[in-house]
Amino acid sequence: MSTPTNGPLIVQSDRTLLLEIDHPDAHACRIAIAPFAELERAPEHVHTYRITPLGLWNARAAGHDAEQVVDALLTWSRYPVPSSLLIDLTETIGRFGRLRIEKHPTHGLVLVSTDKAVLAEVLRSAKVKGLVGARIDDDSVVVHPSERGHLKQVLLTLGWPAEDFAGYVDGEAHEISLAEGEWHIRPYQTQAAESFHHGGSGVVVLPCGAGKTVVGAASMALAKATTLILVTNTVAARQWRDELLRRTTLTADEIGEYSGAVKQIRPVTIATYQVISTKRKGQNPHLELFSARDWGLIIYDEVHLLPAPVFRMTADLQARRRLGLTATLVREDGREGDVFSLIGPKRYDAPWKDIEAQGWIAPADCVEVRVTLTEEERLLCATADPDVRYRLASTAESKTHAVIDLVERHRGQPTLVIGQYVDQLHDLAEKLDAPVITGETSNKQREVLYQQFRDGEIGLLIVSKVANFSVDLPTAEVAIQVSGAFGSRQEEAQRLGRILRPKDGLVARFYALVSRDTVDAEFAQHRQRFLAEQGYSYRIVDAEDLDQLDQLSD
Amino acid sequence: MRSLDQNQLTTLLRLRPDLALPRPDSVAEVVERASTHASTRAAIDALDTWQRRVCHALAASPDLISVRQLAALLGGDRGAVEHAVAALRDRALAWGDDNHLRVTQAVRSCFGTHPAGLAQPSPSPLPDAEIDRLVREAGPEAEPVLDQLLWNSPVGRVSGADRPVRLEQANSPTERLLALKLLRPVDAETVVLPREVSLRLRGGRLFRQPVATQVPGWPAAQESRVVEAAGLGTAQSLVHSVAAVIDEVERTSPRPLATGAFSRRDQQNLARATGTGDAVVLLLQLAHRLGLVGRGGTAWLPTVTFDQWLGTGPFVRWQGLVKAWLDLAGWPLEPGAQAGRDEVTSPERGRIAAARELRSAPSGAEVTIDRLAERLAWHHPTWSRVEVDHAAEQTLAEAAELGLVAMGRRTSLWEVTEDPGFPEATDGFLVQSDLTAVAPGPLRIDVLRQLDLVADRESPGPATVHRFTSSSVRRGLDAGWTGDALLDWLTAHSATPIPQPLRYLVGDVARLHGAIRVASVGALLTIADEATMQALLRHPQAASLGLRQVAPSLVAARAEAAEVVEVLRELGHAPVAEDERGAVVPTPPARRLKQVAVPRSTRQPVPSSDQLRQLSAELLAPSTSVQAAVDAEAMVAALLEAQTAGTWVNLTRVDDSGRRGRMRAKVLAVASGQARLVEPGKGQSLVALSRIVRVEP
Repeated sequence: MSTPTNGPLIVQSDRTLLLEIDHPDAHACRIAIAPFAELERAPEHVHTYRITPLGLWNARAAGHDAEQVVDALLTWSRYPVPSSLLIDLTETIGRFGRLRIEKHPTHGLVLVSTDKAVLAEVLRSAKVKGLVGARIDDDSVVVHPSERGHLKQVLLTLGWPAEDFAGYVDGEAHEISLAEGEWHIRPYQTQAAESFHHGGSGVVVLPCGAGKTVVGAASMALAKATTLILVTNTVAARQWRDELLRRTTLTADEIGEYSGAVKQIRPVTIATYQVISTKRKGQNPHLELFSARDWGLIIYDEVHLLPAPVFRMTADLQARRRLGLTATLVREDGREGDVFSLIGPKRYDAPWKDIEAQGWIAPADCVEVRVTLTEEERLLCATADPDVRYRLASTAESKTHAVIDLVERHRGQPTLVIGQYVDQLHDLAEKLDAPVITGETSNKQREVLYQQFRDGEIGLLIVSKVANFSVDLPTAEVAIQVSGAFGSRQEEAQRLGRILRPKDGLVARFYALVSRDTVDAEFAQHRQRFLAEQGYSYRIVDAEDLDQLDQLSD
Repeated sequence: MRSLDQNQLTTLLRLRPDLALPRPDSVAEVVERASTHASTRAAIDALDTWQRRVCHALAASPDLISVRQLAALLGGDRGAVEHAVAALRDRALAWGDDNHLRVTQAVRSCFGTHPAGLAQPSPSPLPDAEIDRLVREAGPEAEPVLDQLLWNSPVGRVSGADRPVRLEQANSPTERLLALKLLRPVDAETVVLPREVSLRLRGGRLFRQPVATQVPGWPAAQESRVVEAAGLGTAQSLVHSVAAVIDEVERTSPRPLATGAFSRRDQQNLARATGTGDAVVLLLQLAHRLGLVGRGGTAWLPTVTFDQWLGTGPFVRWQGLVKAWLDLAGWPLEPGAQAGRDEVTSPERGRIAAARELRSAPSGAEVTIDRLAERLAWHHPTWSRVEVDHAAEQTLAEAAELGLVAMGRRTSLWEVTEDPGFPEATDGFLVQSDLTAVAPGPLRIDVLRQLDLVADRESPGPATVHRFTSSSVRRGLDAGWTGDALLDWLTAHSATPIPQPLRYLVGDVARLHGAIRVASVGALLTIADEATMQALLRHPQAASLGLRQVAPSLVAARAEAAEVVEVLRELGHAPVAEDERGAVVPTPPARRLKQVAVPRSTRQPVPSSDQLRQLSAELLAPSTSVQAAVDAEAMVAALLEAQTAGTWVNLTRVDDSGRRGRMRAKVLAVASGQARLVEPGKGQSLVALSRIVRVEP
C-alpha cells in the first residue's frame, strides 16, 4: 500500500468520491472502486461516485471485503482518509451476513444470527415481529415461509441485511445446454453465470454490449430447468429469442413469447414487464403466468427498469432462483433496496477492462435550440395564469417554425418529434405531413407505424410523451423535443439513451427547443444539468444560428 | 525543611504548586503553608496509587521506621518502596534518612484516626507466641468479632466495656476476648483491638489488597503507516470541518438560547449541512474557545479573528485547535451537549490527565478505554471510578476526532512539530458543463470566498464542489459582479475552459439582472431641462446632496427633500418639493463581529521551571532590595508614612479563610489596630492591622 501524494481520487466527508478522469491513474482507480461505489455523475472532468450502505453490501455479497474497499481508497486517494470514515465503512460492511435465513429440518424457515445482540435488536422492531414466529433460542427464530421476501426487505431497511441461504426448489427439469461453435463464451461471462448459480439468486451487473443474453443462457444451462424470462418490451423479447436459438440447444418450439400480441407458455417463456403488470378491473390477469409452470429459473432483464408492481409479485417467488441482469444497480425510483432483497444481492461485476468500449459518454450530441418569442407571445406568457404559462411558452408558434426548420435539415435521417401537447403535435403533423401517435392511437396502429419507421418506409414520426412510448419506441438518429416537462432526471437521460441508438459510425443528435426567457428556459436548465451529468455533450444555439451549428461542432 | 537547597526547593514548589502561588515571601512561609492540613491533603491527593499507599503505611507506622521495615509491612519490593519514599521526601511529606523515616502530624491526620485500621502502639505489647495461644484459647466463636475489627477500624462499640471480666464468667465472644486481653477497653462504650494483635492476625501485612507499584503499562509501540495516514486525514478533516461549520454559522446566523448556547436544532442543522454529525458540538466549542465565533446580540456570527485564522496555514490551525481542546470545559461529545454556553471555562481535569496519559503511550500503540481508565485510576486514586471511566471514554473519543488517535491507536501527531503533510491551498478549480466547479483540494481563502458568492457549496471535504445556479449567479451580481467580470475571473482560475452552458447561464442572468433597479433615495428630482440638470450634477455644492442621474429627466438624491430644496434655493433655483417614497436594498457584505472577548480560562498558568528556580533562589537569599515591611512595627511605620505623604501603597493581606490578596490603596487613618484604606474604584474599607502581612510603597 502506498501513501500517494497525487492520486486521482478525493474522498469527501459526505461519502462521495471525486475522480479526476484526466489523471493518468484514473482508469486503474475506476476499476478498483467500481465494485463498491456507484457512479452518480459523469461530466467531462470530474466524475462523482457515491458510497452507500447498499452499495457496500452488494460488494460484500459479490465477494469483495472491507479490506479491499479500504485498500482501494487508501491506494488511490489524494489526501489521507480520515479514520472515522474507514472505521465506518468497515462497520457497515460487517453488518452484511450477521443475519441469515436458513432452512431448518423441523421448523422450516429460520432466521439465524451470529450475534445475539443483533437478533435482539431486530426482533424489537414492530415490523419484524409480524413476519416471524416463535423464538427457538438466543440465536434463531422461526420465519413464516410466505414472508421470506418481505422479511428481507424489512431487515434491509433496519440496516441488518440478511443473507438468504434457505435454498430453492429446483422446478421442472428441462434440458438446456450452450451450443458454442461459431461463437465462444468469454471467460467473464462464464464467471458471471457461475457466481450467480453459486449464490442461488442475485444480480449480475454488466454494461451494455457485454452480452448479458449469453450470461442468461449460460445460467439456464447450469440450472437446466424451465425458465421464465421477463424483458422490457417486445423488441427485446424477440432479441432474446433469437439469441437463445443461436447460442443454445433450444429449438423454436421450446421458446414461447408472452406479450400483448401473443400468449404462448412453453418451457422457456419470454414475457414483457408491461403485460405482466397490466391490470384489468383491478386484477392482474397475467399473474397466472407465474404459476402456469413449475419454473426453475426466473430471469429479470434490465432490472433497473423493472416496474414497481412486478416487485410485489417477485416477493412471492422467493423459493425460485431469480437472476437479475442489468447495466446499473441505480434506479430512478430509489427501489435499489427491493432489488437487493427481493431479487438478490449483486453476485458479479463485469471487469471494466474487458468492456472498455462502453464509455460513459453516450453516442449522442445534445443541442438546446433557443427560440426567441415575439413580443406578443412573451406578453401572453407573462400575463397568463401560472398553470398555463408553461403550455403557452412551449407551444408558441415561433417554436413550430424552428421544428420545421430542423426537420428539413435532417431530411433522410430517421427522425422523431416528441411533444407533450396534443394540439401542437397535430398542428405539426399537418404542417410536416407526418403521422402522429398519441394516447388515443390504438396499439395495433402504433405497431404498424413503428414497423414502418423501422423499415424506413416513414422517415418522420411525431409522438406524444403521454403515450407510454418508453416501452415500445423504435430507435432514431434524430430526436427533437418540442415540449415536455420532466419527471426524474434519470428517466429523461435513459429515454434518450434508448431512443438514440444510431447505426455504427453515426452520432445521434437530440434537439431540445426552448423558448428564451420563459419558464420553459428554467426547465431547460435542469435538463441540461442532467444530460451533462450523464456525460452527454451539450451545446446551446439560437434558432437563428442553426446554420452555424455544424460548423461549430467540435 | 529550612536546610533545603535550591534544587530541592524548586522541586518542592513544582510538585506542590499551591506553595508557589500566591507568591510566598520567605522560606518560612513556604514551610508554614506546607504544614497546613489543606496543603498536605492536596499534596497527598495528588500522589499516585503506590506513593499514596507508602504514605499511608508511614502514617500508620510509628516514627523512625526504616525502609526495610516498611517494605516488609507492604509486602513489596524494597526498590519500589525507596522510590516512593524519595517522592514523598521531595514533597516534604516524609522526613529522615532511610532508617529513620517519619511523617508530620498533618500527614497522619489525613488518613483518619486509625491509619491502616490499626490502633496506636500498645504500651506493653503482647508477644507473638502469646497472641497465638490466646487466639486459640478464644476459640472459633471469637473469629467473627476479630474479623470485624481486623481491617477497617480497630475500635468497636460495646456496652460495659470496662467491666472486669474473667474468662470463666464470659458469656459472649466479646467478653472472652476482653478477658483474654485480646481486646482492650478504651472507655465505657468502646473496645479496641490492640495493634500487635491486629498485625499478628494480618500476618504482618498492613493492607489487605496489594496495589500495583507501577502504572499499568501501555502495549508496545507499533509503527503503522495506515494509522498515521488515517490520523493525518482526520486532522485535516478537522481543520476544514471547523471552517465549514463557521461558514455555515455565518450563513444561517443561529439565534442563541437564553443561556447563550446554540439550540439543539441549530446544532443538528449545522451538523447536517456540513456533514459533521455528532462532532459538531466539539467543533463549535473549539471555535468558541479560539474566539472564532461569538454572540452578537441576537445571532452567532464569525469574528474578525476567524478571517485572520484562515490566513494561517492548516497545520498551525490544527495545532491551535489541539491547544484549545485541552482548555475546554464540559464534554462536547456527550449526548445532549450544547455549545457556546459559558464565557468562563474551567478546563476538565479529567481531560488534561487523560490526554497526558495518551501522550505517554508509545507511538502506534493500541489505546483502549479500559487501559486508559486503569492508568488514570492509578495516577489519581482519589478520583471516583465513575469520573475516571467517563474521562477516559470521552477523551479518547475526542482525541480520535483530532487525529491524535486513529483506528484505536495513538498516532505520532502528539509530538509533531513540523507540518506532517497538510495540503497547500490552491487557487484553481475545474468547471464542468453540469455547472459545477470542482476544486480538487483546499482552496485559497480569497478564491473560496469569491466562489461562495457566485455558487452554492455542495460537497464538504478536502475538495470543494460548488454548483452554479441562476440564483447563485444572481447573488453574485447583487454583490457587485458584472457578468463579464465574473466570466473573466472564472477563466483565470479554471484549469478547464468555461463550458458554454455556464457562459449562457451567466449571460442570461446578467441580461435580466438590473432589468429592474431598486434604490433607496432621500429625494427624487424631476428636471426637464437637460442643461440645468447637467449643471446641477457638476456643481460642487450639490455634491453634498449625493445626486445621481437615474433616467433622462430624473435625478436621485441621497439627502432628504427638505435639505435638497434648501440647497437648490441657495444655488438660485426655484424647486418645488413633492412627496417622497423609497425602498431599502440590502447588499450583504461579509458579516462579522468585531473581536469578542475570548472565554476566559480559570486554568492557572503553570509556572515554568525557570520561574520556579528563580523564586526559590529569591526565597533562599535574604532579600535586601525589596523594601517591604513585614514585621508589625515596620508595617505601622510604613502605613503612617504613606498616610502623611498621601502616597499609594501595595498591601498584602489575609482574608478570613487564610487566602492572601494584594491590594493597592491609600491610607486615610491608622488607629487602634485598624487601618482605614481607600481603594481605587472600591471606596473605603477598614482593615485590621493584624491582617496585613506586607506593605510596599
